[in-house]
Amino acid sequence: MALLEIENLQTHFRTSDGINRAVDGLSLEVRPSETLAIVGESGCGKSVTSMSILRLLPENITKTAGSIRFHGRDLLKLTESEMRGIRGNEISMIFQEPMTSLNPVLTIGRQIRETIALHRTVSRAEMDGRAKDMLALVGIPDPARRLQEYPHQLSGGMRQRVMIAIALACDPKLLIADEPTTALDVTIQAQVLELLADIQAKSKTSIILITHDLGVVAEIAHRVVVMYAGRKVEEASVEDLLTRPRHPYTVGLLGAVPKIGVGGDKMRLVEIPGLVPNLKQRIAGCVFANRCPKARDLCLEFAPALEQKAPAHVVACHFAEKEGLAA
Amino acid sequence: MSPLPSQPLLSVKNLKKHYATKFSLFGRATRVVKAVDGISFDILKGETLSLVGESGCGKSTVGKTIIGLLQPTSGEIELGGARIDNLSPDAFRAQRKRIQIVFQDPFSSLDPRMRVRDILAEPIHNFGLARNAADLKSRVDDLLDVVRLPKDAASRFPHEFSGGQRQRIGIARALAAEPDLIVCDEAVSALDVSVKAQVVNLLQDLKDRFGLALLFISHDLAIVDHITDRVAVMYLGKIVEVAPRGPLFENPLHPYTQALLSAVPTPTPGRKTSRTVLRGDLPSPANPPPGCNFHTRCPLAFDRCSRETPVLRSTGPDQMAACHLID
Ligand SMILES: Nc1ncnc2c1ncn2[C@@H]1O[C@H](COP(=O)(O)OP(=O)(O)O)[C@@H](O)[C@H]1O
Ligand SMILES: Nc1ncnc2c1ncn2[C@@H]1O[C@H](COP(=O)(O)OP(=O)(O)O)[C@@H](O)[C@H]1O
Ligand SMILES: [Mg+2]
Ligand SMILES: [Mg+2]
Repeated sequence: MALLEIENLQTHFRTSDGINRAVDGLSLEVRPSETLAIVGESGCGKSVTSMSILRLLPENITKTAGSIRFHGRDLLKLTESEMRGIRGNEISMIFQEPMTSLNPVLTIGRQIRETIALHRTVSRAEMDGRAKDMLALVGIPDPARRLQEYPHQLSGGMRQRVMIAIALACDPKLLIADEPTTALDVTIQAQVLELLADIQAKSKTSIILITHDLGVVAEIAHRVVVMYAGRKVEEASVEDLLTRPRHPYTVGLLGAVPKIGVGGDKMRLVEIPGLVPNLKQRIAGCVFANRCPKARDLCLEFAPALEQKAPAHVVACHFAEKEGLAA
Repeated sequence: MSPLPSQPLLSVKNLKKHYATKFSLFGRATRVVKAVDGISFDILKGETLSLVGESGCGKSTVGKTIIGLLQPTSGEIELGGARIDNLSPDAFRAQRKRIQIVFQDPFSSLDPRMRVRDILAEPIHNFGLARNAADLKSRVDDLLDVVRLPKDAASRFPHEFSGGQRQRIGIARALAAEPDLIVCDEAVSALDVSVKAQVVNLLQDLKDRFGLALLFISHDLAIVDHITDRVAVMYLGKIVEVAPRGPLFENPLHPYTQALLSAVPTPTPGRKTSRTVLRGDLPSPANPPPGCNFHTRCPLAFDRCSRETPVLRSTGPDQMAACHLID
């Protein structure tokens, strides 16, 4: 059974010039001990999806509909105090910029203890022990000393490790990592990705990895959901998606990513012409039609349904070929 | 006068930029950040040289020094064989036209109160490039055409454009001065994949069409592989390796270049197995390690590396590296 099941999620915002349909009918599931990547370009609704799961949405929200079942309970129906029991405990989150989510005036140790104290009744000594273990787990040298330090005394990579330590302090079932390595240099990114993969192998925590980087997806994801304009356009195992993409948007993205070893004068990057559609206007047909090389009249009129086009491979495109499915 | 073919367009010789960040009671500098610490390189007419390395290694400082935004601590910068680092402000202005810059953040580098037409007209005007009003208008129209923006863009303001379009405006503004060299400081780093591909392809076309030289500053090695002729790898204010694109990506000699390349995630399934994950963080440029700067993180370091500073040595046609292992 799935750990988390999102069904037909809609999260809409009120803005000065209309309703922004940031997430518009998203369904996905996260299975126990898997890493599901949600990939897509900026503004496609990745962060709004994660904020919807944790119910950390801003004031100007006009609509959340659908359901988000976690262990069978619909998170959208829980009271705020029930939600507080889940956040940081059963589901926790790490962000792109650790400095904005760490408290600059509290020591690292205090911040880990506070998270534990919120959800567990344990002694101070136990909390200290746990805090030290967590820092060691995420590969911070000399954890006892680091517990006494403040966030500004750490490098960017170390701060992200501290964030991960705090997020894991209560043994969550689900970790949501929203662009966890985007602000880091590649050398540090490689360390953090290795850490996330190790932690998952050890603790069996499920991870939702949100990223715009297909390279990062290839590193640690098991399955991938590709989002475009607030919707899921393709979903498959990581191997299938990277080697046999079926949605023209995914094909375009993979072509546009620069790859080492195929560069040089003759190698032009594949362009996806045009821009993402305005989410404040209703889109009747396929959301990608205005940029799609395969689009025909049909695509402008009718939105393609998400359909299984190959085993465990779901695509929303009128023209994606079916393959390997029993008739 | 155009430079002789054998003469580099730009020549940087032993450039240093040090910042005193702390002073004693008597005004003596007690903490000096060696942001750029003695680097030399040439750029030929029409050539693209990329500066790569982790954040904080001094790339932007090099770029800003070359365009005259910063005064070097020592060293020489020659443009077409003539010194430009020691010119009077008036004399520098005449040379200033020949080197333009495009920054990472298209949002903050364009004046929000100016229409695109005026943004582009400013350098044309300042450098006296237009014969009359009609010529000015046709130059602005041409520039928009060259960067593939619609004609009606001229009468609009920067905020009316997407990130990729704003970066095109930034490029058009740089081109307006008819420069010989454009410094691109992380010019495509903030753009989404599909838009990044559009802008990289555009830069390639412009370079070919106008015979422009580029100093392409980037932390993104994959993009560099698609755009560059040669690469200089920086670490803590020094160049550790310089090579043409092919040798650098296929046969990197310096262990830092090797580690940097192996850390880049690629969108192909499966984790990289032969990866050299660098341990630890970048040391502070205010307190660089003795001997080879890189020895604290180098997987191949031996005793000599902590004592003796390696110098850049020729290792093949056009290729140089600073490492004791390649003596
Ligand atoms: N508080 C908000 N008010 C209005 N619109 C918002 C708000 N937060 C996000 N959006 C919009 O929702 C869409 C999806 O945003 P987001 O989920 O942050 O994208 P990303 O995929 O880059 O994480 C964007 O169009 C964004 O402008
Ligand atoms: N005005 C300044 N005063 C002190 N240190 C500075 C200043 N500007 C840059 N630095 C330092 O110089 C080093 C190189 O910076 P920079 O050239 O911006 O690196 P990069 O562009 O490679 O990320 C960094 O350690 C940075 O903190
Ligand atoms: Mg986001
Ligand atoms: Mg920089």
